[in-house]
Amino acid sequence: MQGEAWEKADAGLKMGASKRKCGVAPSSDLNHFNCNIRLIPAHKPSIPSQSIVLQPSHSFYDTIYAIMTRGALSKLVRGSRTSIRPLASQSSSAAIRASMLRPAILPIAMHVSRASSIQGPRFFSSTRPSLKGLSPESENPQPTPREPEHNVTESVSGPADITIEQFHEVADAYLEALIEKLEELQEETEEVDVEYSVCPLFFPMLLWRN
Amino acid sequence: MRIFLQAGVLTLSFPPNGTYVINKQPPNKQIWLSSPKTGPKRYDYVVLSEGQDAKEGTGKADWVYLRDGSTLTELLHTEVGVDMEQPYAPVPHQGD
Repeated sequence: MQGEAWEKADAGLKMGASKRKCGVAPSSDLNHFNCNIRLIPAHKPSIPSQSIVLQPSHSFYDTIYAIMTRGALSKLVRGSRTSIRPLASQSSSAAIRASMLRPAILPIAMHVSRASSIQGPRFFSSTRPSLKGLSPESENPQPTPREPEHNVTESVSGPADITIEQFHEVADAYLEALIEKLEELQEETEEVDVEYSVCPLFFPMLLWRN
Repeated sequence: MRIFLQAGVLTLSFPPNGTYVINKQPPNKQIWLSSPKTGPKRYDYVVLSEGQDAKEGTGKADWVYLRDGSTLTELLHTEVGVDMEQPYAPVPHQGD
C-alpha cells in the first residue's frame, strides 16, 4: 500500500508542477519545487500514520495537497513551530525526517511561506487569500470620471473660415438633420408635433446682404 | 412637444423644459440657440482636427459655443435627448 501511495504522490507532484508551469526534476532527483503546498489533515486508515502522501488534487490541479494523518501533522507542527523550511537543509528536522518521511521523499524541499501554529485539523496555505472586490463591503474602485466632450474643442482656436454659402449649406443640413431626429423622437414619444414651413422672409435678408 | 420652423427659426416646445429657439444668423455665420434651461448661446461652425494623421476632410465638425467650448450637439443631446453625432459632412478648412 505504501508503494502505491508513493506512486500516486509522485504522479500528483508532477501533475501539479506541470499545471503551474514550474520546473520539476525527474522523480529520482527531486530537489526543489516551488508549488503551493496545502497540508490537509485527513484520516486515512489505509495509510500508515508516519507517512506523507502527495496526491494530485481533483478540484484544484494547480495545488498539490499533502495529506497526512492527524498524528503526523501534530508532529510536524511540534517539530517546526515557526516555519517549514526546505527539509533538505533543515538540520533541526531530523526528528521529522526520521519519523514522518520516507527516504524517497526526503530530497523534496517544501517551501511553505506561512506555517503558523495549528490547533486541530485546519487548512493552512502559502497562498494569501485575496478577497478584494469580491464582497460588497470590499473596496469598490470608482470608474474614472468621464471628461466632458467639450474639452476636445477647447483647443480649437476659432470658427472655421467658411463662405456664406458653405455656412448655409452646413447650417441647413444641421437643422434638417435636427428636425429629422426630432421627428423620430416624436414618433417614439407620440407627444410631439412637427410642422415645417419654408418662410420666404429669409430670402430678402440674403438679397439685402448681397 | 411641438416643433415649428419658420423664417429660418426653429421653435421647439419641449415640456417640461420649455421652449427652445434655434435660428441661423448668416451675418456672422452662427447658429443661435435659446434654451429655457441654460439660456442663450451663439454657436460657430468649427472643424475639429483629429490629429495630423487624419485624412483631410474626415475631421469632425460641430457648432461650438466658443465662450465655453460646448457644442450644440452636446446641448441637444443633454437637454432634448437627440443624438446628432456626425449628421453631415463637414466643410474642409479653407486654409488647408
